[in-house]
Amino acid sequence: MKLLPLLMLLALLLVGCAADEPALETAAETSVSTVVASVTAASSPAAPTATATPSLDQTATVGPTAATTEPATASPTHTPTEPAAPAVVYGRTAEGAFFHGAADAPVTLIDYSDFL
Amino acid sequence: MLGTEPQLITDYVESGRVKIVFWPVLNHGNPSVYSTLAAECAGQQDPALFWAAHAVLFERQAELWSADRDYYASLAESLGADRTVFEACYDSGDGLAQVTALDDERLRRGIFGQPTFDVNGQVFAGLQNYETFQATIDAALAQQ
Repeated sequence: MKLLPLLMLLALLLVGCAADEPALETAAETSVSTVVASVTAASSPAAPTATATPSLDQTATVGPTAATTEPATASPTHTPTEPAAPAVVYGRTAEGAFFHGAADAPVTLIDYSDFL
Repeated sequence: MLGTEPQLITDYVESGRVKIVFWPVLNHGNPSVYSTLAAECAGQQDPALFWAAHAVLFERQAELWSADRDYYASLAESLGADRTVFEACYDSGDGLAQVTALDDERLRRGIFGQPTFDVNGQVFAGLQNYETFQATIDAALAQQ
């Protein structure tokens, strides 16, 4: 009879441990998600706002939130770290002919042609 | 030109060393005028649209002999141009004045046949292969 309370206590402990396992997994997933989000955010212009969001719900919306709330002036701040792209543009000559390429290119190739 | 153009763009235009200018030659009557006018009116909205139209017009060359205003408006719209603005340009005469002025200028320059190519003053009559353009451009670049 003395064993009954002990068995009941053991049973309660087992139930309690079983209930904790998913919670631990969730906590682990949350940590991984947060790290991934932090790494991703650290390499993007939205890093300051993304790294301040440790919860699972917030990390899940890092991408869309950053995309929609990012100020329009964020891109130029990112540009200096990238290699400068050649200035390939479309425009018109002084006479009004259309050109493709850098306006100050050292060589000009004029194609006198008809679409027919 | 269209056959060699993609390679020239990759090798020279994208690196900023060459600029390609399309100069209209209206040697086939109204079909020449209207196709060039269509490209002009697309380009007035955005020069990039001119080059998009340029590619499509050459691809559909056979259709241009009988193409009408609606054909060109639909084409321009399919490329992203505003149809109403395009039609206003097509009908206004301003676009027509521009393309005929360019055609008059090429006659003053002594260009009578097409295609004709001018690479920094060196003129070639008729179609040229890529190697010809490459050699001429490389020589011009070496003189810079």
